[in-house]
Amino acid sequence: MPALPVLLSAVLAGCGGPFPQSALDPASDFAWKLQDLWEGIFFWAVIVFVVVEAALIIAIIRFRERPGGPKPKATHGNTLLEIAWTLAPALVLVLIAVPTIRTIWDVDSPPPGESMVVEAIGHQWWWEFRYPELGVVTANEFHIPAGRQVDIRLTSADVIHSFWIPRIGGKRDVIPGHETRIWFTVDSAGLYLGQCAEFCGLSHALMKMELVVEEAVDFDAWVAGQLAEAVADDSVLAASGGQAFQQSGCIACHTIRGTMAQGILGPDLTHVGSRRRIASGILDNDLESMARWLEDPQAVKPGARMDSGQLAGTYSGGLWSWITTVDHKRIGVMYALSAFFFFLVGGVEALLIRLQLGSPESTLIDPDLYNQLFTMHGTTMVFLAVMPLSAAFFNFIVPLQIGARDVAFPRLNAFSFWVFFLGALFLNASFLFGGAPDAGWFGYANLTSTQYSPGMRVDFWVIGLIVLGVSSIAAALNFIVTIINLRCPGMSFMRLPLFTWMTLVTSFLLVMAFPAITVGLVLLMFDRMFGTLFFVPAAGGDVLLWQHLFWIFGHPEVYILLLPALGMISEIVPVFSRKPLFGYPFVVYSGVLIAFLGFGVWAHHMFSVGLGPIANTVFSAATMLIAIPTGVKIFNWIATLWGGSLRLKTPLYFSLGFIAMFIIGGLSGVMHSSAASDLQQTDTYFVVAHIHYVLFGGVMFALFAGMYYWIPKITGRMMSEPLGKFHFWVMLVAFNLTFFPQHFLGMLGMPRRTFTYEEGLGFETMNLMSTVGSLLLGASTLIFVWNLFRTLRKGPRAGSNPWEGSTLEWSTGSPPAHYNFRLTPAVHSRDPLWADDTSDSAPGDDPSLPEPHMPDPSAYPILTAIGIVVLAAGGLTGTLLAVFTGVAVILIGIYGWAFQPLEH
Amino acid sequence: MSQTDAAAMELHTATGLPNRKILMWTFIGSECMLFGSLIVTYLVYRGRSVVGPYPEELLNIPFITVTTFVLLMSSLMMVLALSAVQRGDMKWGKVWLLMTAVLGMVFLAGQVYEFTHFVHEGLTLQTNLFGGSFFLLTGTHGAHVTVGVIWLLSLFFMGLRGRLTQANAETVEIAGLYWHFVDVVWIVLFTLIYLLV
Repeated sequence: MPALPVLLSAVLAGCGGPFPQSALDPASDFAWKLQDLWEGIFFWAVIVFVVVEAALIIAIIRFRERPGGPKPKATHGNTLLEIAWTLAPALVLVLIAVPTIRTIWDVDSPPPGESMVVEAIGHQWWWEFRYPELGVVTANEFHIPAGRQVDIRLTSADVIHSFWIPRIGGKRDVIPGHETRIWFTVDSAGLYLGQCAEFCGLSHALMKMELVVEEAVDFDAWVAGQLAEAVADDSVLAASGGQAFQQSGCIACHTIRGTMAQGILGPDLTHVGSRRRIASGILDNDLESMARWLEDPQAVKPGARMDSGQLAGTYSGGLWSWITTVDHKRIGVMYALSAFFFFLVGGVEALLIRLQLGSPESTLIDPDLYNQLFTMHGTTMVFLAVMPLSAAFFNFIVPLQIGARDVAFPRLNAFSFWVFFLGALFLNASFLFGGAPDAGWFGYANLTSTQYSPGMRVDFWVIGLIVLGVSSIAAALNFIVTIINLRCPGMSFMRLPLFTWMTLVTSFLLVMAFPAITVGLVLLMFDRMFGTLFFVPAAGGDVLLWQHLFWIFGHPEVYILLLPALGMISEIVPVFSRKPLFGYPFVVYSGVLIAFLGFGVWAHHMFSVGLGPIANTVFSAATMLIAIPTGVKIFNWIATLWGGSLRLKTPLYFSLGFIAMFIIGGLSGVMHSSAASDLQQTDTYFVVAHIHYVLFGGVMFALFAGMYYWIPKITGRMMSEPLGKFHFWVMLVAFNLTFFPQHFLGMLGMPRRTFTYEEGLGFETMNLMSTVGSLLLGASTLIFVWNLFRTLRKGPRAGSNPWEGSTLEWSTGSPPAHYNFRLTPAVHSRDPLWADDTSDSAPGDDPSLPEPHMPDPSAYPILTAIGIVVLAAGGLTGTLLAVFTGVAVILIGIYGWAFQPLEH
Repeated sequence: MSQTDAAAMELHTATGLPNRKILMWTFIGSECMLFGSLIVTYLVYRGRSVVGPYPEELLNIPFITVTTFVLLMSSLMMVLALSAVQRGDMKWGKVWLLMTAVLGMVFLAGQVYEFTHFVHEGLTLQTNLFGGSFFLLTGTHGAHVTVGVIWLLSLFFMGLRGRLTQANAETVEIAGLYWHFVDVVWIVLFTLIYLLV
């Protein structure tokens, strides 16, 4: 199976050539530098891919369980091997880092020698080009002479854009309040297509440009033509058109030299007739298109400034017992159900996106709805699906794994859940009140200002995320204390199950990373609601401050999503190999190291911003370092499989699928770590493919593995194996069909977050493949839902330890009693339930012992959470009454909470 | 939280440290990141305002030095309060708790006076980057002091009703951790905003 993508890549790379916007077909010195670098990295990526996937496949075939075979030898690790597979990736990274740094300094330094200066100014949604030395002003189409070095100085008139002509070279962001530059020499004459690569609002997809490279003679002729005054031909049509132009509102925004039209808001139209296309490169420059554009510009480019019409179980009890529960297992189940619900919501949003992109110039979904969909898809999947799904496992599994009866603060735990749940509803309520947030899940300033995003949409996003942050921090604090303090006797840190370890690391990431985005969101909220100037370039505000604050949170967030998944795989692989985890301390420390390094790499999301060669080098190198501990984990999993006796059950299927897919996402990640190479990939579908290989091929496969593994413990019933395996194969095929082609879409020049694309750029087939794949992916999820439904109704009883697991959760009943353990267990090894370690007293549920007292249910957590959401709604609408009510409810909740005894 | 909470929690902890103390220390770590981000915002925007009033025209260092001293003294009161409660001397425990809260309120009154004065001088949230970042940073700190004052007064009133005893020393200690942290943050803000103007 993993050989398929390689084969596919070979076939597709062969046909990457003739497409006009392809990054695989370099035409300038700049683009060649990036291409050479990328090819070198790609070479190493393929080698690593082949080696790792081959090892994985050999392990699966050679060590599958044979009936009557001997029990595998329990190897615990090998220091020499650990050193070897730490050094090997480090060496590969050095081989990548050297040319990377050379290229960074090459492309980020000032241009050598003399060059022709062109000023490019990004507008919503068109490009202005000025030649200060020649006095030429034009729009959307610019010309340069072949063989001469050109120095493009980039500034923005409104929000952040990104200058990208794939065949000429990587992106350079166009930032209000900053000047960035990019320089290159193009040797052969020709037409090169480009488009804005940073999401910049409603018609981001329609902000195109064309570069005409011509011989010096032709260029001089073009300059002379541009400098001349406008000449109208004598036709009646031209005369009446000219008259209409001058008598309408057109002249307020546009300039035609030699006439009274001297507006500066829109493109200079003096020589509009000389341009190949109009409306920033989206329509041919002919009478029919011109008429279409003038009649209804809003239909052609929604949101453009140009107006239309100028010219024309054991859980008994009712609902109340769930609302007031403080039992970590019930809270875990509620997290799981609501997270899975939002996973389906985010999935439907994704399917709508894919349906729109299934064919070029589709009109199924308008750009306004499209932008809401991709913003909410990202926000939902990150904050409302994957994080709470991990939290569901933290809640249900961690206290059981450490031999505790509950978490350290049961009511705080209920509070975290209710704030999450109500906050999620609050965020999605935006669909009913004027539309959902539409500025991207990353919400780059200053597109999020009231000027460029009026209305309440972005307010919903800002306030919703602040509320969700409260929930995450409260939950993380709780789990830190729980894991540090509630471990049962004998459960030292180096005996903690890996999933619990990664929960601890993730919780630290949460409490340290969320404050940064909270501050960013508060700054934005103040800008929007109280008129502060934090992200207003004209007042000295720096829009890049948002990017720094966002990504200081945002990159650790990637590991917040990933580390729990790595922990699950480290639990499941040993159990189904019937062998202890290979190199336990190395797997633990590499997880801790990933988290530490995760805080020092945020600016690799900002390589096209132009932070300069020093910053780009440092962040490239730091990012590459993360590949080492990640690689160490993968090698240790394969070594755990190696020599084992593999029981090929559904949880192991999904775990192996995780390893096979995650490695692909990891390798494309290494390509992005190389700042210069990333200039071609950032903000394209290549990155969309990368994050989905990491977050879907990685995290979701692992979460499904975890679900198949632990649902028997949670429900007391076994899931169907045939349905589970069917789900796995459909999902694996559909996932690769959906996301593998997107690598090529990115390299062929398709930017992300675009609601449409033109025919003829080579995007059609692969977009269609991707859409078909996504529908299949949706269907695969339904198989899971059916399996779960069936399990709950008539799945066979699981018993306490159906998988012969080694950790404490398998020593309790399935489902566990509300007090977990009658007698607090004690452990003497890492795998207390395995026969090898029989010195352990297998801690059971001895019915002769009395039932322990457990905390009473409480309504104060949900009351406090309601207060927070009422306060949020008051802030959103500016209703003082609601604000005061919210504060009063919160105070009542907190005081009631503080003075209510934990148990009677 | 009440005493039953504390008693139930302390029965068996793996490290021997009380749960709530670890919670507060971790929370303080998180708060460091919050104030760190706000401080960075303030520093990044220092000197970038395009219109006045500028910090050097407004900041009254002698006045703020006095309120800073008041806040530092409140930390001393907090130490005395905890020590009294730990000894079981509930009378002085209540007195020192009230003194801590009162000094906190004096500091807040100073901040209210300072903000009002600045607004009269023409500095609002909307005036320039200095206005926005100054009010947000010191205002966030003021909000933390306010929460602390409410917390301390709650403990004081618990004391008046006889619900605060020697067994609650840990509750007072945790409130103290928070209070000292808020003080330390002010030392940093005082240095960065006023002394390095």
